[in-house]
Amino acid sequence: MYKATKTVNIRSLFDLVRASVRRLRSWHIYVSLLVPLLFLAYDLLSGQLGVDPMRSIEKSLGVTAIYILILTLCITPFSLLTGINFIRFRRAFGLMSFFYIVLHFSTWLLLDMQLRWVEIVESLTRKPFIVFGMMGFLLLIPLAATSNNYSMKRLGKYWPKLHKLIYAAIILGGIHYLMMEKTLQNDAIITFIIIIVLISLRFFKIRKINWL
Amino acid sequence: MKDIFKKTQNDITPKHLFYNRRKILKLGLALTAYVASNSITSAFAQEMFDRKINTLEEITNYNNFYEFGIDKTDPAKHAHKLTTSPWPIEISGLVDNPGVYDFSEIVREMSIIQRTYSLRCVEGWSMLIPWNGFQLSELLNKLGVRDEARYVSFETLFRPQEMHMQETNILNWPYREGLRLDEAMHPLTIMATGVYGEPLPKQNGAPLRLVVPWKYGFKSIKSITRISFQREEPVSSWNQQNPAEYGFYSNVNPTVHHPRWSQASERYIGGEGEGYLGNLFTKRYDTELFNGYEEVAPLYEGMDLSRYY
Repeated sequence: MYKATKTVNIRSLFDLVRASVRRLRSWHIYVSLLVPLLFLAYDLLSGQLGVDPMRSIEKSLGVTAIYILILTLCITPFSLLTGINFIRFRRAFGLMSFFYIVLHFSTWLLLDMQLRWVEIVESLTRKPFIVFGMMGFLLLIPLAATSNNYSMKRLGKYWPKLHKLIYAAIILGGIHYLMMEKTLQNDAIITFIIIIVLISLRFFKIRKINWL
Repeated sequence: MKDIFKKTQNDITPKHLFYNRRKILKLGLALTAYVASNSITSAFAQEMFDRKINTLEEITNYNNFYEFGIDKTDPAKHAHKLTTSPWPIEISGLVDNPGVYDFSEIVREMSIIQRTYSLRCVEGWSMLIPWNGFQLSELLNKLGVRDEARYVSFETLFRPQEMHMQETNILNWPYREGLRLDEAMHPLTIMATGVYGEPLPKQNGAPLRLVVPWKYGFKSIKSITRISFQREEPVSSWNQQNPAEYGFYSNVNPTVHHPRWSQASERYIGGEGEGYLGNLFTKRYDTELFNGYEEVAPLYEGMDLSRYY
């Protein structure tokens, strides 16, 4: 009796979540994904970014971009597992991640390298850690450029193939993160493991679970 | 305990200020005097005038001290756990007066000086730090280094209970560094015992650390408990960890390529404006050979600096 009641409660809770997700609009996602940027701006203005705010901003923007990409990779398995479906918001997640990468790259060019082109070219060609990051960014450009209905229609069956590049891009981003300091850092290792696990999931056929 | 550090009347040298002349010009410390006696023509010299000495807050909250964590804010959070008194220092190897001396015995016998040096990190940033301490050569002379000794090696304290990262294997602990004896004897090489005239904060390597201003910051080993004199080139921790990136010499050199960070220029952290928002716009400066301390160049005459990096 008690057990039955509990099951019904969880089920109705999930129904409620599914219903509210159905009511979500894309702009809700875009706006929510701006929240990390607001927090960053607040931390900057309140002096909480430490002695070298530029480095904190640069790193934070990069990490936020990687984590939004990770969320994007979570959408499919999450939907199969819980029936809570964010698939129609993948474009919003992908574009917002790209937005953070553009900010990250601009911070590097303007505030970090300060448009010293000789050193920028040297970094982009001879420093593996920068090269990996840049390759990831370059791979995402065609994806961002084709994240619209018109391109989806034009590219047809090639569109999903093209967008598989996200797997390569996120791995490159993860390597970029792993290599940024003199030694491996726990945060970067954990992030890389999450990425590898999420990509490995693609090799298994996950059946839709109807447990709720 | 040996008695070579017992006070004698003759040993006591009054405290005096000593700034590296070249850097004084760069810093604008004697700006008025300098402008009065010289006309500044070099744009470079002009540019250097706006570098200020870093504040104590900046110096104590932006540290690479991996024993306390990898992030530069970690040492400020964790270094308070370090016990720095008593602080025995073991002196061994090719030296006339080996033994274990306490830091307090050593420091009271040394002539305390103040030097403002640029600290250039291999990660491509720099700071200006007003150290106090003593010339390493003074200590070495007192210890009586034997003629056969070619190198001096240093070790940081190994005490995982207080330095939690020593429980991990990110580096082969304890942290080790070394210098060629002529580098150690150079008057620019100091053992710092403080900043801004106060005892060294723990996150900066209390109670005693090396400062070699013409080398990348990681050569300036912190919280030293062992000094030994030897014939062979000593182990240095970062060289051991990644020999392709960090050589034994690690002289600041904008022409030696580093696979991770550009060494052609450095971001000078801090002093650019009021508060932390001001530090957002840190300025890049061209990095100079030997970090601008060109008086050390004779030490490396005839050496291929791109090979012995």
